[in-house]
Amino acid sequence: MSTLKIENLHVSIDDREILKGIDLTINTGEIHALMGPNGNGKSTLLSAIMGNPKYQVTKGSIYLDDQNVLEMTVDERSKAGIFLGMQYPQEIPGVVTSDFLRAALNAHQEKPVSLFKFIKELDKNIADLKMDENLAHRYLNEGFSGGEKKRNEILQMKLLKPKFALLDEIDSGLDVDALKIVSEAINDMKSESFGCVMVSHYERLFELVPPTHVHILVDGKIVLSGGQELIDRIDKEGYRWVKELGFDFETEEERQPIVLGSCGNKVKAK
Amino acid sequence: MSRLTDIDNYLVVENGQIKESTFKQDIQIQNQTLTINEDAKVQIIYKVTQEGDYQFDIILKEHLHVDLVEMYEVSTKCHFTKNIKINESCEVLRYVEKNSQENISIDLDENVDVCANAHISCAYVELTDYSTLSKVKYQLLEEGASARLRLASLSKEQENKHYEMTLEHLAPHTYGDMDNYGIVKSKASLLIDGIGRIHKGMYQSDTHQTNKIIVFDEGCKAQANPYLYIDEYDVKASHGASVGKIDEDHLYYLQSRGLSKQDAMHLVTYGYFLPVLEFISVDSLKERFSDVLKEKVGL
Repeated sequence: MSTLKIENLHVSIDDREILKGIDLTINTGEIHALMGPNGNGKSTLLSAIMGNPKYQVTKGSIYLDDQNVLEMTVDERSKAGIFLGMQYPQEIPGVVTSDFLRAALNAHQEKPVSLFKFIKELDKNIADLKMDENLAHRYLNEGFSGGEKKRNEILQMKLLKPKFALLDEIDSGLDVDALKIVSEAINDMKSESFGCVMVSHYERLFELVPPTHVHILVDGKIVLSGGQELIDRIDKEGYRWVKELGFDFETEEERQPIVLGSCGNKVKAK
Repeated sequence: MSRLTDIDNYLVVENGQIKESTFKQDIQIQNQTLTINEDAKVQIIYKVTQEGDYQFDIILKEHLHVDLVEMYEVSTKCHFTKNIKINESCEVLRYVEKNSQENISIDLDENVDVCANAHISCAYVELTDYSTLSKVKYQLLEEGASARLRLASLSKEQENKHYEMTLEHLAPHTYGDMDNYGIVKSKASLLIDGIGRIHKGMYQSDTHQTNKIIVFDEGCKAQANPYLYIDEYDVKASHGASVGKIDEDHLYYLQSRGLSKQDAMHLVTYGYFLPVLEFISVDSLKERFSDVLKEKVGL
């Protein structure tokens, strides 16, 4: 069993503090759901664990078993077993998907994978995820639909077999069928040597991949932890009741009127 | 540098002298001029070990399909002039690669004349360790002539590389297109001038160019200058130039999958030069390109 332990984590971007003391422990074998209104720090937490250079950790610690994650480079974290399925995967023109996947796979093992074995495994996973067969020859995420990009993230997770997968809104942009396929892929990964943190706004994903732990993150802090019952309540009542418990934070609705269910980042982009 | 096994015709010119030649097709060499008379794949290696001025000319007869692979192996300062004439209705795929282990300076003047309805595509691969002033000029002499050029250049350490790539339209209905890609590292400097020139009366001509340079380090200098000189109304022309850093978000994404920063940079730069590789017909050259890139970029 492995443990990812986050203690008193403070994270800033451009001198603005986003995370204000996060404590979270995840063991392999567990599935954690991270919920909270937009703009309260969920993505920041996942990015900080992965080591995104845009975020500065000002205080606190992250340990993967006895390894100090904050002292590792981004690629070392990946090799140690951390995987981040990104909300907005990068499009990289000129980089052929199969070249990239093979390089990533090779980085994770001592001996390079044989071409035959690699293609076999890639083809199987592409078929399982019902992805475009030509995907391997296309440029990385370039011209991919939103759903294809998300499936490509899951494909990478399956190939790299991390100890801890951090999935940031992996369900956004997926239609009902694709959501099912992705959920099945996550469920297939479940084992005593796999832990997962999922960020999502929708109950649907958590129905398909039931979490063992649920956390509510507002204003840079985890204010409530529990089980499935938290998801049900948020689904019915939103986040206002959390406020009534005495936690002060801004919800997206208060900042600007938006259509329920649309993503805060997209609204900003308009 | 070795002979490519998939090419039948082979010529080595050392310090202006013919050192070796094997021709399976009708090809002649006389007075520093190579004349190609029938469809062929030809590899030419220019070796320079003595300082001096050198010249070499190539003539392609009409209606030919020719693959031309030219490699420079230079170990001393020199000036090289090359004139190529591509006669009517030829189809040419050309690959030019320079290699040098020395930190020297090489000046090159290359003039390519393209006649009626002849088409040439040329990849210039310049990943080598020298400084250079290279002037490459394609003259589209007659109607229907077209030239497409792609340059991949790497300037690093103390190197100083300057390219002047010119497409000159001297007849109506001519087409020219070039994409020049550069990478500059450490203390090096890289200057790319893309020049498109359409003379008066050369109507219905197209001239296009893109010049891009990626800057790796703080101390380097990069300039991409697009020039269009157009003295005719009925033409199409476009140009673009950009100088910028490698995208940090791309690197982060690749690193988050376990690739070291160097491997990530290699993948991205290889991808950046990929359009140049599309002009390379021989597979072994593509592999060489990747290997040399790895070695020279230090990635």
